[in-house]
Amino acid sequence: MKMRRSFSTTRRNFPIRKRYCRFCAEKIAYIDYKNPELLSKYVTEIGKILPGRVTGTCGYHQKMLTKAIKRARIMGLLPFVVKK
Amino acid sequence: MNLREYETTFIVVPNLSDEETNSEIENYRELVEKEGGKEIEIEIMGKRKLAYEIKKHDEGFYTILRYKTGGKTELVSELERRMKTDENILRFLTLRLDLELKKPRKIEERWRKKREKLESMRKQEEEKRGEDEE
Repeated sequence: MKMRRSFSTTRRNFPIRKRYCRFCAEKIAYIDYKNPELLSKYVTEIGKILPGRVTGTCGYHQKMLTKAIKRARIMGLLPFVVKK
Repeated sequence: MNLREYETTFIVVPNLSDEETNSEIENYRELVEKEGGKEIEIEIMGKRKLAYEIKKHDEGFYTILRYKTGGKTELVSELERRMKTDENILRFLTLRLDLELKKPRKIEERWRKKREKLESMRKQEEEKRGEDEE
């Protein structure tokens, strides 16, 4: 319940913009894991993968993005978890 | 016969000298060549900071090795086996590039066709408009 309330306040603070899939818009057909600068936009500060419903990424690209992030983690390009 | 495309990225330890690093990379290139790899390409990403410590190192020298090979897969397993036992390699990852890029290439093709179609339509419209003005 508490969770839900905080959610609604953030919604009120940020007006809902129309989200769209950035990869479709920029015509990126393949997401490479060797580009941590791009991938890091799709993870939280802790290192979790952001869901598509937050970023607006379409299903096809979200699936590829997830795979790329996981590979980047294995290769030491992205953190598994950022400890504070 | 269709060749399989592979891409192996590996991280060499950062505390080697330039020559040692180069010879390390050259070693693997030679191995790929010896085992029948074709169209070998080396791309050096250089030294990068690691997102987390690997074997007490916080930096690594990234190298990408792209190659094609025929039906036999001994090359990849041999390469990975050697890298596994090599203490100068922190991590490696091999992708089957042709499978990986199959769908994206198709989609790119679709986008390209769509764009061409739109462009030709626009051109036709412009021509029409030009005729009307005359």
